[in-house]
Amino acid sequence: MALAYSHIVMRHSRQPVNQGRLVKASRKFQGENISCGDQVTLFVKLDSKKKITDVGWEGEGCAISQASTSIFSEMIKGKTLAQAQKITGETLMKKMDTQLSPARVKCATLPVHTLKEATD
Amino acid sequence: MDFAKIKKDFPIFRQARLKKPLVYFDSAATSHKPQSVIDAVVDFYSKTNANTHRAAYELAEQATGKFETVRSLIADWLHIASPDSVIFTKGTTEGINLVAAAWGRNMLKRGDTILLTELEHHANLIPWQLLSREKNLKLEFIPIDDQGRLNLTHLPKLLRGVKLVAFNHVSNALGTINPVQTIVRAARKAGARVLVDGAQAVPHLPVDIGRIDPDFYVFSSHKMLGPSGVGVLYVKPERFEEMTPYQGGGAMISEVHWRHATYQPAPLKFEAGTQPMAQVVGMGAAIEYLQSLGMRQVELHEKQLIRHAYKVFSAIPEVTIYGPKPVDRLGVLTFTVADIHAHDLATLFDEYGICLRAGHHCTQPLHRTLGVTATARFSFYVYNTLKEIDFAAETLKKIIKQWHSPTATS
Ligand SMILES: Cc1ncc(COP(=O)(O)O)c(C=O)c1O
Repeated sequence: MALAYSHIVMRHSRQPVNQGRLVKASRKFQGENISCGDQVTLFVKLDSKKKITDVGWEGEGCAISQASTSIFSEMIKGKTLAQAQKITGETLMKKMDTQLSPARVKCATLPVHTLKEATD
Repeated sequence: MDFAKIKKDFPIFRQARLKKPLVYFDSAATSHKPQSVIDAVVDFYSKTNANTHRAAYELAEQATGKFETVRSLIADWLHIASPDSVIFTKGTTEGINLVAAAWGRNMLKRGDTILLTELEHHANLIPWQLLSREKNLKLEFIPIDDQGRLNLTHLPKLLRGVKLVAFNHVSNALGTINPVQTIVRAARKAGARVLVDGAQAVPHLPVDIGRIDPDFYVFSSHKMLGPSGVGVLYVKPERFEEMTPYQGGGAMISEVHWRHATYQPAPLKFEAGTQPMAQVVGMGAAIEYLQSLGMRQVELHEKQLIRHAYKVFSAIPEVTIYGPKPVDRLGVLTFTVADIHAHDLATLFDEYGICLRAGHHCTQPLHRTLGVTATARFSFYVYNTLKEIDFAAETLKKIIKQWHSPTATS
């Protein structure tokens, strides 16, 4: 039997993109799944038109939450913050291409919820 | 007893919708039910259903009889002198909350100390935190050693001024079997009362409450092959005088006036409202089933499983096992795997039909002490086999290999 996680999830889990804190971030967003301890912090750099010109993230937790944050960071680059905040969990889940139980969906959608809750 | 044939008695393993054999390694969370338990519940509703302790017609007397028979059965099974010491609760959690509310609130005073251990389930921690907030009590903890066993070196010192010691007989997180007799004796000598959380002991080994002689002992039916929604609180007869009612309502009263009332003696005094009648009867069937296996045999079977699991899993280099060596533990294997988070493990094992628990297993502070946020846990019971453990070990090796090989994904 093959691994239950998709190729894209495993790729981002092994080689995450945009990982690391942004030194000159315009905004910082922190999120946590209290029940399982997954944590992410998203950093975005915005231009004068509120467009995301750079993204960074730090996190700790399961492969799903970390890979989903990596994938999400790719998705939001180049969008305005408002557009990025409109991305739904389903859209991200579709990109991840992995069947997950409801409890694990929470891991996957952690970055989506994180970006919606400003904690500047 | 042939444990290899036991699975047949449990309908959940025979469901047609299962795509692969169900390998259930989460019995510390809840156990499956044999047909005889399910039948007993169905039978009660089909033949004897009526409210207990309320009416004089024959059906109600039969219902009451069935219900009270289970109380006596429990007393016999666990060597409790009188069935009146057996109080039905919703489960372990409610039993502990009942003691905190009915005994603790009444008997503990500002500045008193409650001694717990670093192995406690949240169920045996939060009720004491709540009470200590309310009454300004102190909480202290018996520490664990590097193998997850209680370190009793300083027990006499820790017991100084302690009014209540509350600890689990067997740890749900690490499987540690605690030296219950030693602690009870030391506590008694220090003048402290004792509550034992037997949620993981009563289902898995012979328990002699008469000999342990605690003040309070609690456990749940759903972890010992019985229905959910019911459990037992044992109370030593002397403690009853120190307890005020827990909940008020029907069945616990004797004479009621508008502004005051008198109460039934124990156990009814602590069983307000309609009880989970069918569940109690189902629990009786679970005890009979366990008696037919023999608790000594159940314990030996689990010992064999844990010895084997410990051996095959510690042979996998990426695996770190937490908790004591098999001699000091029951059928619980708690572990982490290098580079694979416990939650990922649970999902990956699930693909093979293997159910395990990932997380903190209701022991967050203990996991902080262990220095991990999450662990994976296998917990075994009567229906598990050595073969299933071998299958899980082979599966884990496959998962580890695929996890590290960049091409081996779906
Ligand atoms: C040691 C221990 N104590 C208490 C509990 C709580 O039991 P229940 O949820 O049945 O009330 C459990 C099980 O979850 C347990 O393993």
